[in-house]
Amino acid sequence: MEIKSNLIIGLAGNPNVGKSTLFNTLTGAHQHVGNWPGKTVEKKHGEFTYLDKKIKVVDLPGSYSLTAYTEEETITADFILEEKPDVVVQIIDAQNLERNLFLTIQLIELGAPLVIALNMVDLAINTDQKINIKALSELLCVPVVEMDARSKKHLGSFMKAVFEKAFSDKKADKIKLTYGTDINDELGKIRQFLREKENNVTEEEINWTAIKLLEGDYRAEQKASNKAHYSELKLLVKRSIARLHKICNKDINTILARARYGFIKGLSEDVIGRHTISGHKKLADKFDHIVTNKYLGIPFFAIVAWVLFQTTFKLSKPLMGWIELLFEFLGANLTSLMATWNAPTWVSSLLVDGVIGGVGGVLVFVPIIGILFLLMALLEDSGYMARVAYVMDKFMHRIGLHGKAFIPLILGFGCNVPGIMATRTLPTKKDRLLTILINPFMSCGARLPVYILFAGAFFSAYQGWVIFSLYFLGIIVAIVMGFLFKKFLFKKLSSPFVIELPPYRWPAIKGVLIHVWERVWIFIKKAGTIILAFSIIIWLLASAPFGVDYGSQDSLAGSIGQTISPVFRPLGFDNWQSSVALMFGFVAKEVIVSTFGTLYGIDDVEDGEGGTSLSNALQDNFTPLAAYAFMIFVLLYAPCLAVLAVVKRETNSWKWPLFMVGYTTAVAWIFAFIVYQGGNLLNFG
Amino acid sequence: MNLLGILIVILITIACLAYIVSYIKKTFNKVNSSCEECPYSDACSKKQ
Repeated sequence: MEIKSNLIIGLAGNPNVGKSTLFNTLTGAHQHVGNWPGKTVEKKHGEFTYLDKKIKVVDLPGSYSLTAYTEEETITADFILEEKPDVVVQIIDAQNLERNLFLTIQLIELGAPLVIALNMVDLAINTDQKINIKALSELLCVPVVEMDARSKKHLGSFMKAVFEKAFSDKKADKIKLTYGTDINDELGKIRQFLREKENNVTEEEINWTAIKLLEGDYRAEQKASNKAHYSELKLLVKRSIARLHKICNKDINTILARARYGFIKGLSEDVIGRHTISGHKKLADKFDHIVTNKYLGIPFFAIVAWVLFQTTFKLSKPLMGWIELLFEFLGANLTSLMATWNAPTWVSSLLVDGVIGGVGGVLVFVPIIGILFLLMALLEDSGYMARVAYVMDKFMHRIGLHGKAFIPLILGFGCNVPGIMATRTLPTKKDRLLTILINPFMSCGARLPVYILFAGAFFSAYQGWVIFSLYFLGIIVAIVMGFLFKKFLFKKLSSPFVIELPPYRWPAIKGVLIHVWERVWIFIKKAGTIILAFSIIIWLLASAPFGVDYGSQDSLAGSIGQTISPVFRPLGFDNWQSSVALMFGFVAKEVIVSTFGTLYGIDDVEDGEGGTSLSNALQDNFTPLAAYAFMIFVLLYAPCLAVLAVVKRETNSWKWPLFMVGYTTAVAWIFAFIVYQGGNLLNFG
Repeated sequence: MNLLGILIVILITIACLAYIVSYIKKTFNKVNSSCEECPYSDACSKKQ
């Protein structure tokens, strides 16, 4: 037997069973994991070394079956068929064994070199299930090992099973699944035909092709259509389907699914021992009754979101104050140091107004970004966000949208880029396109500093409420626009979808902290790179031409801003500084804050009431109503460059990103106009 | 501002503009392989 020095392992399984967690545990990578289905939408690669063997691990997207209905299922099946990994590890959530076994059956049908890793066995004890691992392994003729995806606790026995499978005889004992006499007869005919006509194919491939052709799988048909005997094969399959339909009076997929579930049911009876439902399960069930209730679910989510924002502000306020003081101290000392050194005024202005004003103005928001992402990651990992998706799924179905679309929308709260990438889990191109188009309305982390700055300056007593209202408005606009697109642009959308409810669990603190750190680090890195570059350019525009006062309307920045500002006059913010900020904010939303910081400066000391000079400058240039309209405009207008780039890639066209820029900016203008003019009519101005 | 000052400002401006252009190019060319833009991407897990 050939002993290979390198191994390839594929990690397969249903969504949200811990594949990405196991991938991270094995490879030491920091892939984002979350307690809801559909996080991983494409293959991820990683490597690690174990007993001097280099092992390549491929994390496959979660899928419930291997039929080519969705992209995840296609990726998984193609990987196993074409890349022929040494071992396919199916991670099974021990709490939902029966549901997970449907994929197991298909992996066995496919002839995958399978090892089953039973994850969350400790949580299964809290349910009414106790799994007999030995019996499960014997009945499936597949090694089954207990695994804790979060730790390396069972790594030894897991790797032993993987190595044994990789170096074992691939023709060892394999379970033969039966589908009933009638189906077996028809499958037999197709298998026989394939054996006679095709060379160099394994028995597993023949078996898989026969089943898939009977199921009408388009990928199997496409593959067969290149062959010389295709028309003969097609006729044979057509006759088999017709015969089965005549005998069973059901469509072939139903017949096969029933046969598979029949096998699973029998297997489960043999391996699952039942005991009484635990207190944890009862409590979780009671909680689920409230949070997934069709009347209480959405209000409950609103309360949770409100508490989340309030907590974020309360916790981050002192930290932000310290960072603000630090930059004020730096600014003041740098100015006096420059004066001592007799440095030219422009050097002092570049460092204090440009660099500290711009970059410092953005870095002040690091604590709030960190705390918000921490709380969101905790909610996500606990399983609550999946309940929100479930509640919204029902609601979205009622207005005709695809329920699954809400998961990419929730991801958009962090950053719209992964939100848009997550639309790959949607079954049709139209569903995807629609969800991509509405995703930028979900308020990403980069827009938060703008809200904090304005809410702090104008609505300090109601900061939480104001920001909560903006996030909520984003959701409402996304749903309304989705509804309108569905009605006028993408008629006849699909499709039924059942969202699963993962069990509640304690968040994996290490994973949560890694995720938070990644988001904060991206923010800090942006401040030191693109935001710094823009701050310097804006400083230059605010200083040029020679002889003008820094940041005056005679400067280049002033001229640019004044050219654009009439567009914003009906929205209440026609000062040239906000026009320049919005223009450059198109690159990255954080630049809006750094532009204000550079143009207004933050080097002055706090005023007597605790506000900073930036807040004062904003108060001089905006009314509270105009400030709210400005925040709405920032929430809804054209997404940043990274989002447009990913939309271009996902839609493979420039048409949709350009359309997105145009329509989101129009929507932003209209909403800001309604709020400002409506507010004026109601005397809120 | 003297001649040296003007030269320094021009150099800083060119550097900033070059960085901004490269950022935009990178965003459009490599959005899926950059950890900065998307921590979920293939290359990101490879890199880490």
